[in-house]
Amino acid sequence: MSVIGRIRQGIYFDSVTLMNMGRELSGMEGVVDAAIVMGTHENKAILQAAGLLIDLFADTSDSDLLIGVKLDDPSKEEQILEAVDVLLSKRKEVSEGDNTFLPQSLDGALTVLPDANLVLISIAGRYAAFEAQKALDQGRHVMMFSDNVSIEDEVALKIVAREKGLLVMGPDCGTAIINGVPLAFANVVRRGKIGIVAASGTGLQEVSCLIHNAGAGISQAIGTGGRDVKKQVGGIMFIEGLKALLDDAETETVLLVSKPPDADVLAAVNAIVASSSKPVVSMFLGASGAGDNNPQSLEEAALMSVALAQKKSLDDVRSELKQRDEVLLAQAEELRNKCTGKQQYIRGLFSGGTFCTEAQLILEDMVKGDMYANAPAGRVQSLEDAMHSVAHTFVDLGEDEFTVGRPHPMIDYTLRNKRIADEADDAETAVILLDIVLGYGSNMNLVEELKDVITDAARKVVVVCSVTGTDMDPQNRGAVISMLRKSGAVVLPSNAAACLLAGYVVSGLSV
Amino acid sequence: MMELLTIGDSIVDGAYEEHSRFEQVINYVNRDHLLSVVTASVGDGPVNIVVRPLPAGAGGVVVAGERVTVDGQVCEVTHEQVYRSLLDDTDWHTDILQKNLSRFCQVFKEEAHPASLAFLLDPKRISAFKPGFQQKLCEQISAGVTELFAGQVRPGVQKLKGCGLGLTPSGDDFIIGVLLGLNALELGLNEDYGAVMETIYCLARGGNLLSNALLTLARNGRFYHDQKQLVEALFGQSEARVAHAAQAILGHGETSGADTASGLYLTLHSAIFSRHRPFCAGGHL
Repeated sequence: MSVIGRIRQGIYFDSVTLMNMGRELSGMEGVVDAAIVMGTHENKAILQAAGLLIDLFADTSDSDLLIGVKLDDPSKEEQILEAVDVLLSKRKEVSEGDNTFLPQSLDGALTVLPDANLVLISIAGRYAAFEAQKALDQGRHVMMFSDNVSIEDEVALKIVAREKGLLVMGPDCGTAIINGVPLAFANVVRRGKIGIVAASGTGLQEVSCLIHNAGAGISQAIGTGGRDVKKQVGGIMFIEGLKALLDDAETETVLLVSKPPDADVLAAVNAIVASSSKPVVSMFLGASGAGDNNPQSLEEAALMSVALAQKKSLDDVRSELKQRDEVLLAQAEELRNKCTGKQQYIRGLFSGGTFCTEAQLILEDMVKGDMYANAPAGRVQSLEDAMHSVAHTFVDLGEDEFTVGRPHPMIDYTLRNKRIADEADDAETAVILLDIVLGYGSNMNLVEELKDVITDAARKVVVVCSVTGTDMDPQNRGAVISMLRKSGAVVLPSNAAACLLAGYVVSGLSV
Repeated sequence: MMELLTIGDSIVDGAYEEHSRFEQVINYVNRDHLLSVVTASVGDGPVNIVVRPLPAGAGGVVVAGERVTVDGQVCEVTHEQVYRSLLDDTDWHTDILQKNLSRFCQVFKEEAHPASLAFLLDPKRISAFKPGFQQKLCEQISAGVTELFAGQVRPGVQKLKGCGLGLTPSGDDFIIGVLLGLNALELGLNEDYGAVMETIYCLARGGNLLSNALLTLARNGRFYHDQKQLVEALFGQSEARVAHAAQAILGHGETSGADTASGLYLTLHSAIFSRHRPFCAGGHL
């Protein structure tokens, strides 16, 4: 048996890193015990008790890092000391680098974070299911940001997860907030009593931010991926997510968000909601959920869940929104004065698919004339050429025709900015309707990138924006709103409010 | 361009040099004084300067009155940006505190990092430590805690100080929690724990600059935001708030938050069960 050691000065690691390094050393062949500690008097006493104190450590101080290794085979000393050096230099790179340490595999990631219980997978779709299966086999929840995963793989993974009592969020799950941690495209919101299950990424972002901005908070926000509520998948994770929140002690109110689910999925969800002891608000865009709260927009759903969590009346929410409506009508009257000549149409340019859908559903009964969209909802007609607007047009810039080979429009504003300029130059455009989505993953430099284009557009047409985000987001909601207003845009607290204002503006125009 | 969001109320004027750098925190020192430049996710603290984003360069920090220079960038501090680290007056209700401590303990057992001192509250967790050095470390800390709460303050603190892994060893973090707990008790009970705090403080100081600075802040009743939130929640009416505050403090550092919280918890707990005298025989459960 022999004990060897190393001393390092001027480098610091947190305790978990040191413990993991100690474990890694202890697990090496020929190593009986190992410790990596700061050289305090007390730590040296423990090293002595563990038989790891050597003369080399005698004159060390509190700020020295001591590495002691006990070997059962002295011939391996050189080899182990080399391994120690490699381990320290590797960890130093991780500790001091630019936060870009990227494990090359799931196993590699788990050596860095062995206690992780959720694996976020964002790799090419064809490999994603395999990695997800590995994570499930190891008893870990999965969030699949990846898309292009086959529906057969999705169903198989979700069945396995359900059997194991685990969640598979996704594929194509863009956002979730788990135990207060925003994942992928998500906003920084406070923790609270409202749990969300959503088959809609931007829908989840919108309601979680509205809840935060109304003073309440989120217990968990579970994304399922949009396909989960379709017939083939059968809402497996939407239902499991709902059950998890109904069982969760920290969740007092549940909010469900989705585009219209398959009829059988809707029936299954509604049956669970009907027997729930917790209040549930269901916002299925274009379909009715269980219960009598019946929100008409993501905003109303969010505010209703806040009211329920705060034991307030839903009538107060309805009455507040009604009052706000009157303000919007008055505001629209003023904005209408800006429109001249042939200006008569809304051009909605959305980075969030759910916002585009919600806009169509809100406006289809409000505005005169034909409505077109590249992702039509309700009675809206399909837009023949997504690059060119016709009459009232609603474009989801997150659809494939815009995103093949380029980043999502929440990240890369180039395409939308060009389209804003084009629409502003169109003599028939009265209102440009925009969603500005903040949070992790979204464009970090949006103030600079939007400022000029909004200023130019607002000189020619009415620009109405909603900002989905919070003041805790890295972009800071207040700063973004301030820039937009200074640039001449009208900023409203939700997509629904922005749509209503746009609708009121054009519905009163006489062209 | 870096933006200064908030600044702690206990930063001493002077020129600070970089001491250590982590993902969300850069520690700077000026003789015995510490300040940390941190991101918003780390949050407010008595010697924290919260910025967005974290400066990339290795330049120092100069604090002169209301002007702070970080990495060459000058920021003027407004009154609203100052984080107040002292506790507000609080009421003591034994039954509420007892219930809240129990809720805290439950969250702590479920969510504290396995490498933290959570084994002091949940002995089953000791199996997460490997035989050999790690188990010896646990033994030493357990012995120190037992002695401290049995009234043997000197040997207790001496066993704990400087003991453990990390930049501020777990034993130091625990003692910091004890000092914070005593400050909270002073305020809640209107009793004077000044003498015992001073004893613990003097015994606990060693050669670790960061630990010393944090011990001084704790002795002076200066709380980091998540510590303050936890104490306020423990003395308040909402169990849910306790759970959230517990989760927040457990997320502080790798194990530091949990180690400090365990010292704070055991001090408050001990006070309830020993008629407000936390360090007397029988005071420790």
